[in-house]
Amino acid sequence: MKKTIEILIEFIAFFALIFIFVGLPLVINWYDSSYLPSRYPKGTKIINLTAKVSQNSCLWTLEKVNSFNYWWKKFKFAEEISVREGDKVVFRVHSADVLHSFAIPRFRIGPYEISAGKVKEITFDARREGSFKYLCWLWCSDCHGDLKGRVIVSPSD
Amino acid sequence: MIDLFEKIPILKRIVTLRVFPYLIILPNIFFFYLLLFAGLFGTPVGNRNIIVVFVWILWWAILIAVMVPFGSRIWCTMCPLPAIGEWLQRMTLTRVRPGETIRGFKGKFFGLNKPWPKRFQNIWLQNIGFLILACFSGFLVTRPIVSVIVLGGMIVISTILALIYRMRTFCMYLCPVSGFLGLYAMTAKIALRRKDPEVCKSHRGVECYLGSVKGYPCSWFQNVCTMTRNNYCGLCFECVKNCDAGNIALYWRPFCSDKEIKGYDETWKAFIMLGLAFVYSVNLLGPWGIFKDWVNFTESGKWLGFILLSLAIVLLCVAVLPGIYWLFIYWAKKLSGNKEVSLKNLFIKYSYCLVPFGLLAWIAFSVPLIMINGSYIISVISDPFGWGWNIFGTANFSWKPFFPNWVPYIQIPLLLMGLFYSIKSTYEIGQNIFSDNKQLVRSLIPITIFLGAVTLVFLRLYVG
Repeated sequence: MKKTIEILIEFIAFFALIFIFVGLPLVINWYDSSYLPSRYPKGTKIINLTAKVSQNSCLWTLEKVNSFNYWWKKFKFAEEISVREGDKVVFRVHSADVLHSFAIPRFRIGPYEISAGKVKEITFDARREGSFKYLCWLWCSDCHGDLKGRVIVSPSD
Repeated sequence: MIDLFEKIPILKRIVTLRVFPYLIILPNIFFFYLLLFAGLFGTPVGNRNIIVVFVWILWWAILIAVMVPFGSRIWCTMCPLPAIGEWLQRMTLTRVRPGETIRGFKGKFFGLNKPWPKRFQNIWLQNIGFLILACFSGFLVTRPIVSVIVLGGMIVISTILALIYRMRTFCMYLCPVSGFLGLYAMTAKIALRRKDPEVCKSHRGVECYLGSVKGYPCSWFQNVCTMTRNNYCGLCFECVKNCDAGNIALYWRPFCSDKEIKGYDETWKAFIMLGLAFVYSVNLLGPWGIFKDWVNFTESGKWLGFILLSLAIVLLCVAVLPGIYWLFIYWAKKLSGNKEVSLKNLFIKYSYCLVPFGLLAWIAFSVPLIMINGSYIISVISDPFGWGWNIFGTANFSWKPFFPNWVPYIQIPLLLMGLFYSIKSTYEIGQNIFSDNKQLVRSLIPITIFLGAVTLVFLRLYVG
């Protein structure tokens, strides 16, 4: 009987470990990619935009910048961000390193300060079609001038 | 001394449960896994990433200010780093697998079970490892990925070593944290010791050390029957499980009860720890931007400064501080007028004076970590990865020092307490070295001056 209990405890202990190793990444992924987006109204377009400064260049990117890839990956510059007229858009603007700010002047959005390592959520309705400049509004580094791109609002179908 | 097992019987019942270490390691595995995940996939900004904030602010402060002085090496009981290696070595998480005897140790073990080379059976490698980490501390405490590399590397190394060498070889001889935990555990309020030496003498099996069907052999190669210091007892409590006579007690005792430094490796550990408390205080807390630029050489490009600073750190800890201490010991010997006491003996034995002061200096260093940077903890518990989460609604809690004006008023008594315990302990050590009380008092004069000068240096750094 004692041996059976010992084996049972060992079995539970083993599965508790497996549960942690497998379950934790799954829960994190579910929370970030399913639960959090479900808070926004249906049809909302969520755009994760990250400002990154490296020694010689600055860029906005739509790719995920993390502690691992920050140091070596060549990120794609988000020169154009496409949305459709009438879209509800949420910009989740990240700063991967220093204090930035974000603005879309012709939509009268911002400037909003984006602290290092923080995320600022900015909501807007794409009511007009056209091409609108977005940029960092704050002198963040020597390559600050590179931190600009365009939001392209195309006509709705 | 109070026997905590007698006072709180449930404590003994808990530590003798076969599932005990696993139960407290498991939550740490969970947190540690979360931290590594954050260190890899979270924001590269250190103060917004839980691995940096939790490990180098919260864990460090709790470890040095609470766990070590009050719990000895209780961190080693719950440390997740060597757990995977140990479980692989035992091929079980909670059970004992009796049946075999390898070099006298009972239990079935997976792996080669080789003994660690004799010439490395000391803490020199830990000293070197800690110094190397210290040189790169600027990265370690600001770049999440560096924390992942160091902590992840320790898991990999400890696991590989567990499969080659027997027991907790990594913890005993390589883990950089273990080295200073061992040194400062000498000051701790708790100690695991045998109760009645006669019971041990009449008992031939030495199961507490060699293991039995109830528990594993001591993973730390400590025979509790003869153990007189906390240094290398990892508080795994296997000996308590093994001892049929119930002859092992967990004592609650006065601070700084273990007073014996046994070799140059331990002496140099004391120098290194005190030297680094000074270096970190200058680099991380001081107003000198130039050192911060040198430490942060990848951003500032000041490689030469970094190399110079690293050399200065190593020289200070390995040569300058020991050299100054040697001069004072030489003076102490001359002043005592005792020709029988060897300089080497005095050098090693009196180096204990650096232990209580070193610990208190580290605690004093950790006070601003919590009081100035502690607010980051509140922020990162809601957004551990810097992904814009707000789990507990505190993600936007801005950085705010807690009672910053109080910091020096907490640091001053801590340093003075360190000075008091150091002088008191050295006096007690001296009583065993000098038979003549006058000689003892004379030998203490230079040591007191040395300790007073070190205290003034730290007071100057912290209070200005």
